[in-house]
Amino acid sequence: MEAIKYLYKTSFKNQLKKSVKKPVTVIYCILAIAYFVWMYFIFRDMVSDIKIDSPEGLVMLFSAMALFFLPGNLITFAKRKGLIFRKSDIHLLFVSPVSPKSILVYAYLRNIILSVVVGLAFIPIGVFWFHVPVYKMILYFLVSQVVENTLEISLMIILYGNERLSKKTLKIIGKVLLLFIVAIVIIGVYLFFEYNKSLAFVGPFLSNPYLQMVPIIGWSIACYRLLFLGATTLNVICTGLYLISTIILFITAYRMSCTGLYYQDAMKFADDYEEARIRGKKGEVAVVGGKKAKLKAANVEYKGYYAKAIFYRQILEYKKRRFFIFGFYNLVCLGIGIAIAFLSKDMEVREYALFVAAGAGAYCTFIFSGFATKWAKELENPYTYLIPDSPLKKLWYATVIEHIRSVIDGLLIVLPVAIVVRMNIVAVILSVLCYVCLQANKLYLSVLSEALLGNTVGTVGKQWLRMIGMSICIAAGIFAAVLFNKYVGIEAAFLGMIMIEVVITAIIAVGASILFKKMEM
Amino acid sequence: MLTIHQLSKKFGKLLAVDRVDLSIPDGTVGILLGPNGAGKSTVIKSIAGLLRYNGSITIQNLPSRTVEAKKLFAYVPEIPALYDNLTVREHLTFICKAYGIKKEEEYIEYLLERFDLFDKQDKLGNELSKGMMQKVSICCALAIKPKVILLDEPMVGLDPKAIKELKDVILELKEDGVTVLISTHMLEMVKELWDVMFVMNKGKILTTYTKEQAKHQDIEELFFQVTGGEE
Repeated sequence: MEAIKYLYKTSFKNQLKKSVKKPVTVIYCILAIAYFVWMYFIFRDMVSDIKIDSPEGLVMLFSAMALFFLPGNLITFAKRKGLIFRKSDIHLLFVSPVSPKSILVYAYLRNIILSVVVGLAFIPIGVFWFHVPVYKMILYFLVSQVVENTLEISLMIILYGNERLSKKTLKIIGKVLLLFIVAIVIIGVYLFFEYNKSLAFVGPFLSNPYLQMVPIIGWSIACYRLLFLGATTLNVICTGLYLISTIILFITAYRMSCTGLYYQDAMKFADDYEEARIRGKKGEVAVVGGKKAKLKAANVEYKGYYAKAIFYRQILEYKKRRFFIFGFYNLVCLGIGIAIAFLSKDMEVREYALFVAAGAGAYCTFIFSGFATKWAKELENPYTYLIPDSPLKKLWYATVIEHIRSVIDGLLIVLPVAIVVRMNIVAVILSVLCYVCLQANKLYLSVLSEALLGNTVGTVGKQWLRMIGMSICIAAGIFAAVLFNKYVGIEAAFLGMIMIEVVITAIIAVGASILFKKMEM
Repeated sequence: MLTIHQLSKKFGKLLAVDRVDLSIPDGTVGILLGPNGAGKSTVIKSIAGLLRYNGSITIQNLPSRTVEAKKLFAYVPEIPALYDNLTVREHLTFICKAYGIKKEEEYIEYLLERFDLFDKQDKLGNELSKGMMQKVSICCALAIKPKVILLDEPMVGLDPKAIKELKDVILELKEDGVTVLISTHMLEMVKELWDVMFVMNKGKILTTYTKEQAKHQDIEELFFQVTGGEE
């Protein structure tokens, strides 16, 4: 355990030192504090508005958390997932004589700082939002940190480190826990309709005595009730059972034999995690352990040379995919289009309907502007730089499919709205054009951010630059629209907005190709 | 001494290693050769205790998964992975603590000097090049003064001086009675090191040669004779 203590302490100290040295840390800290202060006031008002600003409300909150979080965590442990091991752990820790159980505890304790911070944050929240006495919140903090963590670590060791239960049995345990969560959700939905589609059912449901009798999960709820609402026969008995079960589980975990047979699964998870981490750093959507897309055999006829080869290679890649250039994002766009159409049907000022579809597209582009683009992937490929052709041509042929995809997405957003607000064909085309321009800006801004910032601020910094860039593009369009509306009229405002977006796109594209040329050098 | 008896490993339906037996006595350098996909990595990961398997593996006659066996065993993986937030020196200190080695400072200094890491000792794991990481990985393995050491493609990424140093270290380990097993494709690099050669293909050990049996036959010739030209 001494080695683990050393590893934990030294890593933390060095991480802290490293963070302090980076000026960007200060900015992130200020942003995080501002965000939490904002959240604090937003949620304080919300808690008061929905009338749960009492100890009963806090118990409800903790009960809901216990019902979903504990079984959720146990499911991941039963699947031998949920604990994050890094490749360095496999290389240096797994092969060492450190006990495999200590290694499990080490992986769990990696998140302990977050757990302590959340626990500490709940003290003022409990006192100011839910009007619970300070001593009770401190007591809660101690119980949650000592008893809850002991219980969860014990269960984690028993499930994750178990070498006697077969994989099949562990799967069954996971499924039973999943069924429990599903059952809670079904009961919740049923009660929601029973209570005239209101959330009034939550209170009676979470304070149901039978719920407190559910082993471990229910007993933990009983413990909160005893702590915050006072003693009843039921919650005293269930709290007693909770404490006894914690002790028994701790002893079981301590005595259980564990030689490290879980290393194989942990190693697989570490690989998946590392892959997801790298993809996440690049701004891609990454799911740990997500199934890799199956690619089918395909071929393509290259009808051109040099930069055109990039276009045909991309076509080949898309042809190998199950749904060609279509994907989940198309459904997102369609969903947004339908939702906006639904909201627009009762729109009071129908003359502004022209802007609805374009606005929805702009919103979509802005929200997803942090994610990596196909062009960002091309930039990682050395051949993009080595192909003997002009940067502008490379930029165009590497992004042309993305523009086609933007047209499809734009249509999916605009058409439902167009049907509902009865837009004419020209307005539809212009709205789609606006969306395509914004998506193109996003693509070319990735080149700008890469060329201007390089590795100075990391991926998050570049994502911020792209988001700021997108905000400026959108704001310029809005400004133009307002100006044209004031001096000419509403149709001119719409046309002016589109024209401005087209001009901005052209400027950014030229700028990106110039900077791309510099990157090649 | 490293002994493997009837080691088998399946990944789903794929039989990656099929009833492998091998034994390397103290003070002997074994080399594990085979084309890509032969099962070498699976054997190595099984010895390191990273995989579940059927059969038995012992280190100095102790089951390989026991704490006692692990104290005697060192492993240099093909792709080294270090902690982002530990310096070179802190990695070595951590390893010494993990293996219960006391009064380690002098030996750490010696290893850092020998592998040209002394001036890099305060660099963090994520600030090192691949070659540097490999050197740290080798130093970590040597720091525990093992009785059995497993090296998976240890020369990859090393500069010529470090390769020479590693070869010297391997010969010194051999003289000190340590069991060494090297898995590699770089036949040229292990020519002067090996005592016993295991050639694997399709999950099985096809043949075992001792240096005496091979007489003066070239290592590459022997390898291609057995594998039929597969690289």
